[in-house]
Amino acid sequence: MSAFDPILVPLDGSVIAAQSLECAGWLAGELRARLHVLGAGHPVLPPKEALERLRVPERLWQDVLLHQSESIPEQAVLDLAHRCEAGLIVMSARGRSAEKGEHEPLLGHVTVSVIEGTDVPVLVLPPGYRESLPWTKAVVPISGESPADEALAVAVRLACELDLELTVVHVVGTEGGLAAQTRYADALHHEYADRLGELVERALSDCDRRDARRITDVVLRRGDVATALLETIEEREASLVVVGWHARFAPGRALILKTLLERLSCPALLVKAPPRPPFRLAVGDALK
Amino acid sequence: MPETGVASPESSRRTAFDAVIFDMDGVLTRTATLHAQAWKALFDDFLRRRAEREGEPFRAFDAGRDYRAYVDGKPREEGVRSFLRSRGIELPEGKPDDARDAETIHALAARKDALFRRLLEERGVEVFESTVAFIEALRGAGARLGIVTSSRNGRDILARTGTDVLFDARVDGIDAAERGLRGKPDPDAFLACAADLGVTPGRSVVVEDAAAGIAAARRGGFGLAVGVDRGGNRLPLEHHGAHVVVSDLGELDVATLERLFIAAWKRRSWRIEQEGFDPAREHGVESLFTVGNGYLGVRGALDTPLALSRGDLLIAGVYDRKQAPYPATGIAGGEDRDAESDFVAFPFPFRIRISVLGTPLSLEQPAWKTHRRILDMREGLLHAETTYECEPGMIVTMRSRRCALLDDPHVLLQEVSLQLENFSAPVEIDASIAEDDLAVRHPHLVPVPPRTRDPALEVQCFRTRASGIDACIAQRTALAGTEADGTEWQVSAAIGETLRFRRYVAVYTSRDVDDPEAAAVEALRARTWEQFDATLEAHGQRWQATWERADVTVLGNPADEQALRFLAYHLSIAADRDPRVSVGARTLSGPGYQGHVFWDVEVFMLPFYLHTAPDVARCLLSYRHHTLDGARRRAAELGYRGACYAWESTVTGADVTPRVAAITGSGEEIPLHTGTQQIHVTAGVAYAVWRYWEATGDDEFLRGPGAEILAETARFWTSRAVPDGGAWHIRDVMGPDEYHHDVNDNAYTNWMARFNLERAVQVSEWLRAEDPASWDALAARIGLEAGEPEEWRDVARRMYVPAPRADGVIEQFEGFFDLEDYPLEEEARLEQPLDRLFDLEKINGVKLIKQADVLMLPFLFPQSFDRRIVAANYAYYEPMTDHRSSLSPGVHAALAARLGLEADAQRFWEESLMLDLSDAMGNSALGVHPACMGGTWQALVFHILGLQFVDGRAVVDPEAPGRLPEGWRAVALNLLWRGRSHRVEVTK
Repeated sequence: MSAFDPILVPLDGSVIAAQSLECAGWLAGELRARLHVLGAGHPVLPPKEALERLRVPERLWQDVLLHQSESIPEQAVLDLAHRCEAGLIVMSARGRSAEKGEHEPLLGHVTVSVIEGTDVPVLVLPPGYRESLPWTKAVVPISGESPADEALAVAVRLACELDLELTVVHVVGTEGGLAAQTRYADALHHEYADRLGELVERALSDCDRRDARRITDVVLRRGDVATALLETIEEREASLVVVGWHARFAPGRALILKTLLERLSCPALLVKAPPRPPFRLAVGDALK
Repeated sequence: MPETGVASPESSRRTAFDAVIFDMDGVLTRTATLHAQAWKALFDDFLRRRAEREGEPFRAFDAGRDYRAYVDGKPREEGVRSFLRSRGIELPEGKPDDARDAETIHALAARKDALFRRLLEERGVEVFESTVAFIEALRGAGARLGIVTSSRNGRDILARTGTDVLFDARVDGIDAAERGLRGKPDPDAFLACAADLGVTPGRSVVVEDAAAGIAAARRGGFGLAVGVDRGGNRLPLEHHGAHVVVSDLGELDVATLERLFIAAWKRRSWRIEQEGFDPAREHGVESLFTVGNGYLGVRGALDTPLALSRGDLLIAGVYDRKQAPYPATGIAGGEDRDAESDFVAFPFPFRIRISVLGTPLSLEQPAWKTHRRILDMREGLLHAETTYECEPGMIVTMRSRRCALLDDPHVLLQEVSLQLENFSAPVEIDASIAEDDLAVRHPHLVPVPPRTRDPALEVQCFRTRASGIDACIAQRTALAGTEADGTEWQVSAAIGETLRFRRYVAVYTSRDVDDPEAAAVEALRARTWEQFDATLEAHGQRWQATWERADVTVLGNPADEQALRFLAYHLSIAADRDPRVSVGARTLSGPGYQGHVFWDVEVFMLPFYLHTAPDVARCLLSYRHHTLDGARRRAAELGYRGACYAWESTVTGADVTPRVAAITGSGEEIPLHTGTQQIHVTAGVAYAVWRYWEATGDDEFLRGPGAEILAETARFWTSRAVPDGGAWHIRDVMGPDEYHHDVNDNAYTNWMARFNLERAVQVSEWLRAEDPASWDALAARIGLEAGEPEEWRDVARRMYVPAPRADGVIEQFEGFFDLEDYPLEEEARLEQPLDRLFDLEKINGVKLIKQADVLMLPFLFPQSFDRRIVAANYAYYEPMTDHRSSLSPGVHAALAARLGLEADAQRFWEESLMLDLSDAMGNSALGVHPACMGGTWQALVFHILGLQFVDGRAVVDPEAPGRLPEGWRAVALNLLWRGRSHRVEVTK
């Protein structure tokens, strides 16, 4: 069974939101995953009408599990994701309000609430999304932070199931962000190189070594982090970028992710860090 | 000798500990019985109804076993969840105001509370008089007292019994809910109580009767956890970490508790203890928990390793050509010119696979409940203890210990014991150490079929790909009670039975013997299982002997004492007595720096060995003599005479530093100047030769290898220096500060070169006068011409060494004062991202330095610089240093302490001392940092204590007491000097 099964697609009846169905349907087929479609914040309709309202193509009707909820959409998505133990959520950056021409920020409020609120990886189709299926390559930034570790682990699992090539990229940034912040990174050819290797190794901690072969290269770049990532994505003709993040989309936070979403044409799979397990080393203040 | 570790009582306190925190139910009050009865009534009613409804057999709640395992000590909702989970029952959470007969977690918890209150009303509460008497004795002795209970009825019960007045602080279930404190085994409630009492956990005692409470005390870092076993709970209490278990507190008095507390405290600073398990920290922990003996090191991976584990076995001196890492790391070192440039990692020799009821015991499985690893530095042993719940309620405990023998460095020992606490089951054990994925995990090794056919042994042979070294790792393993040695067993373990597995491993290479397989097999056959315990005991005694020389006891700061022991432990297992090898930049604890040998050994680590194990120091210098031919070849390649040591060295002395770092993302190639320009390493070796002779008076060494090293290095400097304007200059070098390359007259390099030349002259004069035959032999052997010593003298006399300018500052190199400023705020200086390593040319032109450079001089030659000069240079250079090297904080701690800059001294001391334990560099996963450890040790001995040997006596600087780090009340250590042990004690 796929680690990403089942897939949940929240829809609001807009054309923009319905774009995600093609990608989600392809994923469901490749991963042999069940596809749950949710329409929320609207009176419950008979199934056929609901599917039509949500713009689910008729050819998919037999393959989807339809859910409707009159609750507010973001809560309905989070509840259903929990209830059906979703392995993946696929949704567009924006929905109906953007379509209506209302002032809409980079991500719609439902998308923001879902990506912040769920522990499930969320595949976000950015505003500049251009469909390109099937996927063949993915780019994964690593930084040494635990969400990035988790993103690489998720990416390897996905790459194994979808037969993707992975490029891992570490950017030595000018302004922190995804750049590793280590106090003593001594010799470039030793500690920096070894540390990069260690970042990859650590992220692969629960992967089978054979699975790790999905990583075809590890790239080191310099400069502005988002720009360097976008260049890598373009150079590699990546179908996907898998990004670890801290689940805070508030102003002043997730700046690199926001830049990526503004400029990306491929989907971004957003991954959070799992909770840290209990660990204590009785040294220093812990001993005192 | 001063008392170790535990500070003397202050005037307001009269006990060694500050506070004692008691659990209530079962320790102070007899409410545990009432609770157990209430739980039983609740669950039996629930289970009976459920059994009738579902048509299942009814299995009653066991007021003994189920109570202790699932509900004792926990908040009641958690108790309900925990017990139902053990029966595979899931109920909705519900809400606190659910109807009493609802089948929700909250409703059941409320029913239990009602049942308990009814029992309380009916029967009242009894207290344990022995506990009350003990509490009163503690109060009389001046201890502060607290009580913690998960019960929301806590205050009511204390009031009913009149015991509330005994305590200075109380935390009950209502407080926990209001303050958001998690229930036991989380330590929140105990920590809150300690905070309310105004004490630190480490100086406090917890008294508990529940295993979850003991676990909470250990997780909270309390100084002593006392378990009270009212019947049948001793093992769980011990397994969860109780330091002592009593049946009743009447067995304890204040003096006994103090003794236990002090003993536990003292043990703590001999141990590095880890609780819990975090995969992200595992590689770092493996480095810290390495066992070794200088011949080999084995990283502290789990006995039952996970896919992520990196339990490498590293053998000193075994290198091979670098293999392309997988996955590639983004930086390649360019062409590899040497067949012995990369450290070879051998497979983990302590692997064991155990399944109980078909469930593998692994930290990957959610079945594990507690995990603890303890590095016992005093005994040189790594212990581990893990408890598993294979099936609900079925508890298995696995304990292990392992070591690398000091007496026979080719042999490793391991013991694993397994106990099924409360059930019987089939157990499968597979102790094979064959590596499934050799090609990926150990790319340097080619398996070679062994010749040995002996079912009692498992023999693995390898050959390194490029360097062609043969190695054999063989093992003999036994399960006590079974007849033959083997590696696989299927046995039935009875309830409470302990299965004991033991292992000998032997490791030999063709560097040691002609036939490593024969040697390993013979080593194993020579050992018997009857000797096993005695061998471990003898190993402990060998460590005692090491500690008699290497221990530093600190009164008043156990954490610093522990960290000092940690550095002495790692330096002690990093080097042995093989003159063909030295200590790699990350020792035998990890693959970092590919095991290359740097100036770190002679300039930073050597003094530790000089004064604790001078025979090891001699071997380390013999390595430099052994590689002198390589240094000669290198000098010739560079166009000079004599010997120029490699910046990065492995076996032959050839320089294995890459010339470029190739960045795969951009195709960029960044030139590396360290290999060709950090020639100060050559003078560092000469400096170490002299320090060795000073400390040991080993004339024989100086007459032979020492004189040859000094002569050949002096020759190098005379050819490397150039005359200009009446002085000799050294141009196009890189000093210790790696941010500046192609510099002229680096103050450190020129000073060290002059020192090198002067000592060569001194030794040549001494030999010619005292032992002309040795001198003539040396001269003949290395083709020394008669006038060369005079040439050395002339170059030394006229070597340009920048003098302090009027304000006392010494220019780091020609033109440094004219470089652009690099204006950065304090925080930005230290936290800037890593692009400084890439923007070489930009950084080369500004006043930003990576580590101590000029300041290395007063660090190594404290008597040569007066305070004004040291102060001026510290004040000038430290603010422009970003301390990117682990070598930097120790030097700054030393000089700041000398200068009385207390805040800086403390900050750098802590950074240097705790570098690996706190993983300050974020890369201890690649091995520990021995040069930092050696620098820390030097900072303490030669600067904080200001120690000198004068007329054969160890003399401490009179200012030393005022320089002791924070919390230190006294320090004591032994130092070897000229064949005698000198005791040094300083009291604040």
